[in-house]
Amino acid sequence: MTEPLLRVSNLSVALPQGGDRTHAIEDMSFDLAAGEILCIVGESGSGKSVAAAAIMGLLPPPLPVRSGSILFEGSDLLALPPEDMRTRRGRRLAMIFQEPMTALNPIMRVGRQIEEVLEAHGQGDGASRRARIIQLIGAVGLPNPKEIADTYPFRLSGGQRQRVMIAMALVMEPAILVADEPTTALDVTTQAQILHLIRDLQRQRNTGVLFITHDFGVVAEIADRVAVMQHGRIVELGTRDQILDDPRHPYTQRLIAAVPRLAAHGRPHIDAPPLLEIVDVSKLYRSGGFMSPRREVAAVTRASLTLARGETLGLVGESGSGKSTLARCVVRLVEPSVGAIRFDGIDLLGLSPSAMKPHRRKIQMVFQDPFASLNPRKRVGEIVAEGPITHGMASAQALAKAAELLSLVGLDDSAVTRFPHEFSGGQRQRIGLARALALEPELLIADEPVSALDVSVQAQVLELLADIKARLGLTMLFITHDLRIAAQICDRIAVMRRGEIVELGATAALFAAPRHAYTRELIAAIPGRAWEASRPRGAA
Amino acid sequence: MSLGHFLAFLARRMMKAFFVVGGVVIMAFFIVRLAPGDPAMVIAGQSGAADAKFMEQLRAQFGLDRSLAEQLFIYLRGVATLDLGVSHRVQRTVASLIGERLFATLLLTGTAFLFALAAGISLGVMAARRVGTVADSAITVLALTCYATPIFWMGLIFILVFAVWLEWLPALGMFTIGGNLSGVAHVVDVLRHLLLPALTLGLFYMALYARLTRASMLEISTQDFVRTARAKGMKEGPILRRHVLRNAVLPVIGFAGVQAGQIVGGSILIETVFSWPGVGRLAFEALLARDYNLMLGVFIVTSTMAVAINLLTDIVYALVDPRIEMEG
Amino acid sequence: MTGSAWRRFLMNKGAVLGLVVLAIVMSMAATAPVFFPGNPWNMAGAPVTPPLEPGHLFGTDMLGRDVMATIAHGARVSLLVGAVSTAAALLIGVTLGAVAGYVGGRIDDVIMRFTEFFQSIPSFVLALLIVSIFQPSVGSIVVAVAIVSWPPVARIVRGEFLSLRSREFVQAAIVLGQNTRQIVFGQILPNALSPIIVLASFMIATAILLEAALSFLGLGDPNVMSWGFMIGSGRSTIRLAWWTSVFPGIALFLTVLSLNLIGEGLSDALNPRLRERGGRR
Repeated sequence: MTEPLLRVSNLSVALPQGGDRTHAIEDMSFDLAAGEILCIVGESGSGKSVAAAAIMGLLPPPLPVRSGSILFEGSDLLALPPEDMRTRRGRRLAMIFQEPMTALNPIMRVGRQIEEVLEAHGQGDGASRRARIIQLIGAVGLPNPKEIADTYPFRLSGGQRQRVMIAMALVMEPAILVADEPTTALDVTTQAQILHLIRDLQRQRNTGVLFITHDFGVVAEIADRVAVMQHGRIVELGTRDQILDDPRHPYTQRLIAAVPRLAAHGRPHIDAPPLLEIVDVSKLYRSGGFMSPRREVAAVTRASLTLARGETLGLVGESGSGKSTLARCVVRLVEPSVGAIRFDGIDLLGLSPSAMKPHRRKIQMVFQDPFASLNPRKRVGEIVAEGPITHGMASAQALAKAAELLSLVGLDDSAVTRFPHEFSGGQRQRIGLARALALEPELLIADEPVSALDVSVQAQVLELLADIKARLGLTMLFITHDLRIAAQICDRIAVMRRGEIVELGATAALFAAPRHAYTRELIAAIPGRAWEASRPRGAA
Repeated sequence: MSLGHFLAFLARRMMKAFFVVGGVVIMAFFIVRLAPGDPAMVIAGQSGAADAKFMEQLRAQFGLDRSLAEQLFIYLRGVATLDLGVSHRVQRTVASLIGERLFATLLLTGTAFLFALAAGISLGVMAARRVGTVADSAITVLALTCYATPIFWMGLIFILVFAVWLEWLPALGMFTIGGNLSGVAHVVDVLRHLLLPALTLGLFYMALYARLTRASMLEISTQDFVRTARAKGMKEGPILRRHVLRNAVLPVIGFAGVQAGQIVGGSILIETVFSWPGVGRLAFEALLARDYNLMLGVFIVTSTMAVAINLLTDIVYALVDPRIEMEG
Repeated sequence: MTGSAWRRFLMNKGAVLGLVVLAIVMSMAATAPVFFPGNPWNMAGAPVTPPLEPGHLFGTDMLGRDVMATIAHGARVSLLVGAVSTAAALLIGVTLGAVAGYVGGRIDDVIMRFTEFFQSIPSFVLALLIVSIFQPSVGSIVVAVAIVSWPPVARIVRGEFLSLRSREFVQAAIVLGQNTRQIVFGQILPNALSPIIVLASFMIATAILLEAALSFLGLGDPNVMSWGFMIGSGRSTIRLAWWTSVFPGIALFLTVLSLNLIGEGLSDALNPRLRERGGRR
């Protein structure tokens, strides 16, 4: 058995005083071999990013290393003086980060930023550096390398920037690449491309990759070995197949079970009169005014769909697809430029604000960001009672109703007098749901309600939504970018791309036989599809 | 950015500046008209209101007997041809009065501005690098002190200490009267006279820029791309210079441009305290004598100066920050 | 201010110091007629008495006026002008900024151009012009200071309203059916208050300096004793009687400094970067 490339032994990193636990990571031990991809999986707060930072010597001062060793190429990285560690960073160990939009210096050309790596390690001279940079930019799949090298980051998309980051990381041919959630902030199709890029480059160069992620689909797609972390400890470590098909630790089992299945079981076709009709809706944004050129962006183009009473329709698309804009048109947070939106036969768009008010009771919304969707200065009880009070209910009665609703969504009675910041993300989403239900709506619009939550919490909130919908007989418009989630709870799915609905059909049919090329692309890009086939059919 | 884009940008900014100056002129026109009493009285000020024939002349000259629109037109036409009227008190055109003092003010405010920027940014960087240490606290205290001290009082104190008690530097004026110096000696003399006023005017803004730079540096240091630079294996020095500083300085430049108007205003106080022969002191004299024509002229000229400085910093900012949409 | 914000504020030594000094100045202003009865303009002792003489702790000026009495009475003007003009500037600025930020579109454009225009003019020169044309008095000074101080308020308030308007809890309120008034006053304004409060503190400091500068140049209310006026009138005798200019200046400095310290303290206390993001996910 060859020596591992990297050996982490009993690594412990402390947290500052007053946190919910004493250590960010405790007693962590694992190996990384050359040419292998080790995925470290965990939810937020598991310590996975701290582990990555520790290996690179990039821990912030408040997080001291308490014990352990990191053996790499004959030295213990933790024992090295700072300057020695610096010479290894970028040259023997490289890192790429999660947010491509902020990871590059905005006022420095991309090629120059890559050159800085070569410069920092005294490599070559102007001409040879330039040649190498151009070659690498091409190797990461960017067209027109020469032009890209002279471009500023703000002209590149998220996926393109991430490719630049990869080029920057690999330019010195490091032995190890640490990737901290590099695809989390990317669209699913871009994610698929970047994952394959990393895997291809890694194979070519025999690089050892430490891949941090929270997504088991990604793990299924590219991992050789997997380490599962919880509360700063590795709870399970094994090969990909072992972990995915036969998880031992209960936490691992829970995490895997929480990943929504891709198997879209056939749902009965809902035969009911349409509750919502969206007819030929378009939304154009115009910018520019006095003294600047006008620009027009079509956020939504001629979208049409109908929603039958009692069904759940999913609006699926990547960023910029217009799905959120269309949803906001229904509640008139955004005014469509043309088209009609009929609710129970009444055209909403023609109504004045005061005429609209009574109809607002019937259409409510749950929002995406648990940290921004609740007024931080109001108590939870007030927040949930606001709707009924606005529509004329007496304050005491509304608060009583709020308390009822909060227990309906699984929160304690005491929640009524507390402030939003005292709750976790999942709990805040429940509060948002209670607020929406307070007016007893007929239609619930859920705008990516679980996208900002951890996987295990996602499953709980989705379950709650499905349960409430069934109990109260709601109709739901569910917006998401995650096809797995759409498969799990939607009866029909509308796929949107660049403002247009490109396909609309029953869930099972859509997955089994997608008609539009883009739908096929989306489905193919779902990470870990192959794994779906072998997933044990447990509780759905 | 390409030359074409840059020229278009320049043209747009200049047109905007032009409109602002135009607005200032119109505002000046209306302010005088808004004053209680007869505009002719206001304009004549203390220098000749009693003389009925003089008032008649004034009225005719300003067309005060004509409609408001005509008066505005006459005024605008005058300003466009740099005819800012006449100061009856001194019997000279406002334009010539201002013209001969303009250089002194430009010298003073320009020096103060550059000093404030240079010293402010340096101190801010120093404080940010040594955040939490004694040096940082010292710089913060210095900045707070300079910021809270009224500049006219600071000027008096400086005169008291450096000119009267220590006799290191001259107290008043721009050069030694009767000194009859020329060439290098003259320049040195002017510089010796310039030191205290420029320092006084500049210290306040230095404090402002130092605080802003420090805050900006600290904020930029926490940004993701700085972490990326470290992960690349760069040394701290280049990281600080190329990544942190360059980004941190941008908002300071932007802010300095907007603040430009205030420095020009502050020069009135400094020039008064130090008897510096600039436009500011002219304004003070005009104030005392209620010479409104002159005041208005100074108002228009100082506003134009502020707009010009603003325009310059806008251009510098656009050249340094590639994200500024040249075509946007 | 919530309890935790107060605690944070009180832990800031500079802020507490500022609060103490300001309290001293305010009580000095309030009790001036008690400790220094009579008109501060009146001669109280021999002219040009140096400080630390009995009865005249800060000396007298060239007309025999007691410097300490004038400082105590001058505090009233400074604080009054500072507070009232800031209140007026806030009223104008918050209204314009709120309308611009909330309504957006053309109106926002127009208001912003207007604000930018005002910001391009050197504020001190404009204040000078206004006060001199409308004759110096406490009233005209307050108006002048208010007119030159409102633009930064408008900008900041507009920024807050703009960002809050698209925040999801405000959108939720719209979806619930709340009308504009309920949203502006119930949802947005309470969350926009923090930066306004911090700004107000700094604005009062600037207003006091502005009033002092105007009085220094001789444009103060001639019936009112002001610190700026004292510094200005002491200028001609600075070699002989430095204390007539120095002490009022120190009073000014301390007052402005305390307001700045309070402002910084408020900014730190009311800016809970960590609070809202407490539970990650």
